[in-house]
Amino acid sequence: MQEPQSMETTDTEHEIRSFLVDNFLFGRADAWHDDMSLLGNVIDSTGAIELVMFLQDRFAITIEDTELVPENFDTLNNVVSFVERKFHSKA
Amino acid sequence: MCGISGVLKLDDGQADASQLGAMIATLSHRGPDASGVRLLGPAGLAHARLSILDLQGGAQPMSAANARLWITFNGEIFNYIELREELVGKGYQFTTRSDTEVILHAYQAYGEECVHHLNGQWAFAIWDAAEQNLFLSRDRAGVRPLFYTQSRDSFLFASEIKALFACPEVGREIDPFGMDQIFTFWVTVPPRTAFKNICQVPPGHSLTVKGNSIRVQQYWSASYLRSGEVQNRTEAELAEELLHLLQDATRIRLRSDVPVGAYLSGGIDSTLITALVGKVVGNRLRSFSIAFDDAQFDESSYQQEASSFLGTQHSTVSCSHADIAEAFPDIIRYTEQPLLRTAPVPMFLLSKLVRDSGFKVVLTGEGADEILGGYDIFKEAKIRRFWGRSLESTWRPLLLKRMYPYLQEFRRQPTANLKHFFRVTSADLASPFFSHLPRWALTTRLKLLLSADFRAAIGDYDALGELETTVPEAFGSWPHFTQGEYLESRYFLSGYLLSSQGDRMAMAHSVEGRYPFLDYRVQEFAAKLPVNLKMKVLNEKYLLKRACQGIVPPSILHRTKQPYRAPDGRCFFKEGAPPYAHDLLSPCAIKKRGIFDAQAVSALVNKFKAGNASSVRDDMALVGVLSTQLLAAEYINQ
Repeated sequence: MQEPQSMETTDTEHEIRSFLVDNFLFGRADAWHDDMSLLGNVIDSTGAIELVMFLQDRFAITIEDTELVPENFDTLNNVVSFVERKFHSKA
Repeated sequence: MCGISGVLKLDDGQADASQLGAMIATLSHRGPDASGVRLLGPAGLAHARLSILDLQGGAQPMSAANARLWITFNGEIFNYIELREELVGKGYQFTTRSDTEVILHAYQAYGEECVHHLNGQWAFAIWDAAEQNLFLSRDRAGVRPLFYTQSRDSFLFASEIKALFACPEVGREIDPFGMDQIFTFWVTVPPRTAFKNICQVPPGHSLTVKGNSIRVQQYWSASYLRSGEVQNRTEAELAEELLHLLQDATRIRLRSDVPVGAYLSGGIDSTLITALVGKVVGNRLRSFSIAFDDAQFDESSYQQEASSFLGTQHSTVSCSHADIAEAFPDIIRYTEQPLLRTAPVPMFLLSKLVRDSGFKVVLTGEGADEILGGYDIFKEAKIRRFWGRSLESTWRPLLLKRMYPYLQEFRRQPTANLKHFFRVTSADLASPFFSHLPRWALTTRLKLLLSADFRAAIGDYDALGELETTVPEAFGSWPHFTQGEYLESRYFLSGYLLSSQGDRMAMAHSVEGRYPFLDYRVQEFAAKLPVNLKMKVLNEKYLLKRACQGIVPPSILHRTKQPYRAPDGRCFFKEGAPPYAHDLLSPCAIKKRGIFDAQAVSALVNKFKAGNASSVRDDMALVGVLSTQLLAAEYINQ
């Protein structure tokens, strides 16, 4: 696990976007657009756990099963907002 | 079981012995016992023989009717004894005990309709010298392969594509549309193959070449719309009839002049077939199975249990990650198409065990899942449709968790994600391909790996559109469960299971597979069954399980179904793995071939090297790229 660092929205967004593109789109940035729906379109049937593991490891947060809802995970913006809320509530 | 090839000159030329010799030489693994070439003016037939019936008298190519008719034949006609008697009754005289001669006289008696009289697994070509007519046929289920192409002046056919490539005039090029199909459906849709201008005769079809005209016609398809015929019969009666049909299908598949063994996978289907074989051959029965070093794939405890229960003399070969990496290039040489799974490799090792044990013929349980409601994808479609009837329901999608109990990564997924992945829209519900849409959506994502140039070659080609042109006219109005069954039976069974995991892996070691569940009488009976007898609520193969009572041990009858799978992508990155994967997946090799995007493949490879690849998607992607690179290295000139 990496040490949690101070959080800038643009950095967080960049990191999560990179992870999603590398992990689910084989690095094909041209297949990505920021407002695309992640669930079903990017994250496949077994992919949610991969995303959760990445977020927990990278941002040192704990994500509960009950938080795995579309409001937190359906778009990049939702994920970034969710991670920031978790990160700051932890602090 | 054998290999066949041939040529028909379409200009005024004569068939050439050296060309036929070169073609049939590539198929010696299919028929190591003898080979023959026959020149017949414009036509030429060749044959590589694996002797199983009439060891002394069955040499091919074979003639009848005073050398007017000539045949080259790969396969077995299991009802040849009865058909021979029928033909003798009509006045035909036989000079051998072989099933080959039975086909020839059946052709004399019934012409192209002769195929309706055959019960078996075949690919054959008959040259009628008087009519200057070449007739090709492939069995109903597509057990035996049959490929063809047309060059500038010739029509060419063969059991395997490599025999066509033995002719310098036949071009070697990956077909972008074939690739698009494989990276959608896992298989190509016949007549398409992975190679441009190389076609396959679809299962249940015949092909006639006369003059310069090629005519392909369907002679058989299981009719799924006759459930009224069994409506008034009890479950017990139907289970009894199913068992009776399987007993007879097994009995005639034991006709052989060499010993016959059986595969035991540890599931219901192969255990039942082995039990039925045992009833005929008694305590002489030999069974064979594959075990895995990796426990998540291993079913050897069930295999041992079935063997003990049935009293077979059992042999097992163990498959490790290293075995898969080691054998994979050989596998692709035989499958002649890209794969998304490594599952053929253990079947390759198993057929070697069979051959090394002195056996040439094995019976297996293949086909039961397709025709009797065994697959998880049928269950998945049923749950999704149930949910689709009440999309706001919060508890119906929880049933999604009941699927795939053997996939740990699947079971750990939050329901919210599964709901989105398996989401049901009104457009999905209206699609005749509803059952397979999530699977195809997942596979389609692998096309992100293709290079820009290759994607441009695919253009706006529509694989689903092409598939739609090949399904029966009334397909859209069929019962939903039946639509899913048809897609599995018609495309995936012959295009992958019977070829890449079946014929090709068995014939690589000169072993013939026989499949009682694919006897056309069993298939036609199954097609008539009401769907609730195939899957009762979510209980798969309901009627078959009932038919198996007392024959298959209860522990196997009631165990959780585990599909046959093998370790995939990580095998190629273990310490000590052969270097070819590293070489073929390098940016240089990827760019040189031009099919895939080098950067995307590097990202994927790095993920495996770092030990971060854990999904079905990554496994399919890695195996898909590597197998395509191997295929191109083997068959395509740079």
